This record gives sequence, C-alpha cells and structure tokens, in this order.
Amino acid sequence: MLENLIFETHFDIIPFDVYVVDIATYNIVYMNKHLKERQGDSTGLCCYKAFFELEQPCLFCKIRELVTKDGKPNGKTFVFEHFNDLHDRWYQLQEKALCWPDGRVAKYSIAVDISELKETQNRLAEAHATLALKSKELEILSATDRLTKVYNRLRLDEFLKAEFQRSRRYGNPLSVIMLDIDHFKRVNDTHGHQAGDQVLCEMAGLLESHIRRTDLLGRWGGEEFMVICTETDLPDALDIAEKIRCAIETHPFPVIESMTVSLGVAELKEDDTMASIIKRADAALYEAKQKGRNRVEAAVQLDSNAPAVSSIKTPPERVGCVKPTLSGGLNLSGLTTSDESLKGRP
Amino acid sequence: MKSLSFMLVDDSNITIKKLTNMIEELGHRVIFVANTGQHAANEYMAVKPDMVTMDITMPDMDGIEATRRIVAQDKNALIIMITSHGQEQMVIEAIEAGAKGYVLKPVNKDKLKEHIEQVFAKYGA
Repeated sequence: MLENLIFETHFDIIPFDVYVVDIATYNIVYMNKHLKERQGDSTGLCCYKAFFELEQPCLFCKIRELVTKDGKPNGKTFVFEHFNDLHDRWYQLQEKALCWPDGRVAKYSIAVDISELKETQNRLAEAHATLALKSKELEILSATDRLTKVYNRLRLDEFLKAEFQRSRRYGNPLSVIMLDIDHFKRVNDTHGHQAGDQVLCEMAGLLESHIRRTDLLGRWGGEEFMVICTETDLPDALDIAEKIRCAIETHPFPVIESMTVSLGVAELKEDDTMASIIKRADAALYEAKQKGRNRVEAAVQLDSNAPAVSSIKTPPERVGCVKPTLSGGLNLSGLTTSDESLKGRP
Repeated sequence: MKSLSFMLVDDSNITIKKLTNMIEELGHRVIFVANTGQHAANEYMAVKPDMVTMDITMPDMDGIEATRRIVAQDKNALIIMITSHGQEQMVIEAIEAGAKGYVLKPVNKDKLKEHIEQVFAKYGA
C-alpha cells in the first residue's frame, strides 16, 4: 500500500527507534530501520513479549490512554522517561495513537536514548538518598541514649507530649511506667562504674524485649527508665509492669548475678497535665521503694492540695496496689494486703 | 567480605536474572525471589535473608510499602532499593520506610558491590 510506504519511509528517516503497535492485539505492525538494525525484526510479534519478555502488557503501558472509549485516537501525546531492563538503557518515549493506512488503530512510539543525560540525574537522586539516610541517622542519634541505646529523655518528652495530645483528642487511654533499679548504687560502689554501665545496658535490652511494639522505652536519667504505653489503661499497664518486674527478678546478670526493679504506673486522668502524670508515676515508684522494692505500685489521682504520695495515708483511694505473688503473677486483690511478706526482700 | 544471602524482589524476570548473575559473581547467594511486594512481606521472616534488593513499581503492593512492612517485622532488615524512580519525594519516602540504600538503574556489578558493601558495613550486624 502506498500510504504504508509513505509512513514507513517517513519513520525510517528518524535516527531513533520507532515502532508501531496495533492497539487491539498489541502486535507490532512496524519497526523503523534504526530499531531493526539494532535488535532484528519483530514485526508481527506481541510488543510486550518481544521487547520486554513479559506475559502481560507493561505496567507503564499508555495504549488505553491514547484512544477514546470507542477505540479511536484521542489526539493526546504522551512524553515520558522509561528504563528498559533488557537494554539497560534509559529512553524518552513519545507516544501517540494514529490510524494506520490499513485502517487499524495503532500506537506509535519514538524512543530516544537518554542514558547519558539520566546518569547525572540519577547521581543526584542517589545523593538525595545519602542525605536522607544521614539526616535519619542524626535524628536517631539525637533521640538515643548514648550508653544504653534506648531512647533518651528528649525523645520520651516528645513522644509523651504527642501521645498526651492524641489521648486528649480521641479519648484513648494512655499509661506511663516509671522504673528504677533497686540498690543500683551498690553495684557502682562494689563493682565500679564499668559494671554499673554494663548493668544499665543489660537492663535496657531486657526491658526492650518485654515491652510491646507500640510502647516506647527510654532512659529517664541515672538508673531510671520510663515506658510510655499507648492505648493502654491502668490494669493492662500494671500487667506489663509486673511482667517486667518478674523478668528482671529471674534474669541472671553478669557479675552481680541478680537485680530487681521497682515500678510506678500511672494512667492519664482527666485533670492530668504532662507534668502531673509523670509526678504520679514517680510517686507510685517512690511508694514501691518505700514498701520494700521489687514491686509494682499504681498511682492515685493527684490531689491538687496534697502531695502525690498522699495515698499512703488514705489506702481506700488507691486504684490498684499490685503486689507480686509467688508465681510472679498479679495479685489485684492485694489492695489491702499488708507488706509483711516483703520485709525480707532487698 | 563474607558471603551474604539475598532475597530479590522485582516483577521483571529480566532484572531478576541480571541481579542474580551479578550477586553470584560477587560471591553472594540468592536464596529467595519474590515477584510482588506482598509476596516479599509475607515470606521475609521465614526466609530471613542477610539483604534484600527491592524494586518500587510492582503489581499488588509497591516496594516502599513492602519495605515498611518488612522493617516493621525486623527493624534491622537490610533493604536496598533498586529502581528507576529518581524523584526526590520517592527517594525520601523509601528511606523513611526504612530502606538502607537506594540505587538507580542501570546497575552494574561494580555499582552493586559498592552499595552492598556500604550498607553492610554501616548497618550490618
């Protein structure tokens, strides 16, 4: 057909790859001289199979966007960049639908090799990645406790603030566990600061393995750690605290062999501020220490006139004094239990 | 460097073939191939490779989402994106998701070696 010939000679002049594909069958109708010389004649074959060794049309295929609903060319031209896996080259593709002289609606693609151009662009993209990784590292570094590698006080503050606001907005429960290593000073005094540091690191690792993915653990300072439990009410937070207490009690530490911790737990209340929930958790921790250590105490509502530890004087108001049982489980009925059983404890 | 085990994630068999050849020539092993992000995220923990190469554009789940899910299961996962997407936003999103490396196609053996060694030295156990 004469028209075919006109098209073909026209495309053969173009010093880039040109091919034409039947939009109904994806069969290659035509390849120009430049393309045939490079990779042989694939006319008559399915384009995605012949060019890309695929079993279905390419994910980036524009054929359906080049025609109207009834399959006529819609006049749009697409220009885009594409990496060809087979050649390992970058191409700029220009694609448009047209009526092939034999009446079939087809798509033509002109592919310009832009690999050299892309090299510079790609180096820039890789530099962006290096920068993004670096800034992420810095972010992590600024939020990490140097010694124990858990989060630091700065991150705890930030996280608590964000969770505090979220809890206020959506009414989800939020709890805080304050933890202090019992008789830590003795470790330093007896075995030296290096042993003390080792205990802190070991403790941090142990704590990390006993919290949930949604909890955030950080070193509050000295031998004190904090766990922020999102979407967690007091009974559940007490449960976590008790599991931590039990895990540490039974863990064989190097050099000093055994260690215990005291924990105070507070759930965010309506009239709490960020400072007051920490204060209440701290007061509960203090109470746990007072009662003989190696135990978990729940915080009480903060009375604006009274110190946070006022609960000691008014036991009925205590929300849930928790005492370890022999099995290491929770004894919620321990509300009124005396502390006799703990007297022998360190 | 020591020989590492790899999981390759890419929907293009051509890329898989090329990467496998390069990785093996570098003295490493390909122990699992996933053609979709979903497949990779589902199998990662069972396969537990030393390193993952991850494409971005794939059917059913893209490589950035798959990276996010793998890192949620193993925060020390070593994932290198190998992609043709160079837009800054895409790069940042991938790094945010937890990718430890980002390589633009085309990849050759030297480039791959450099990135594998860099990621392993920096983030490897």
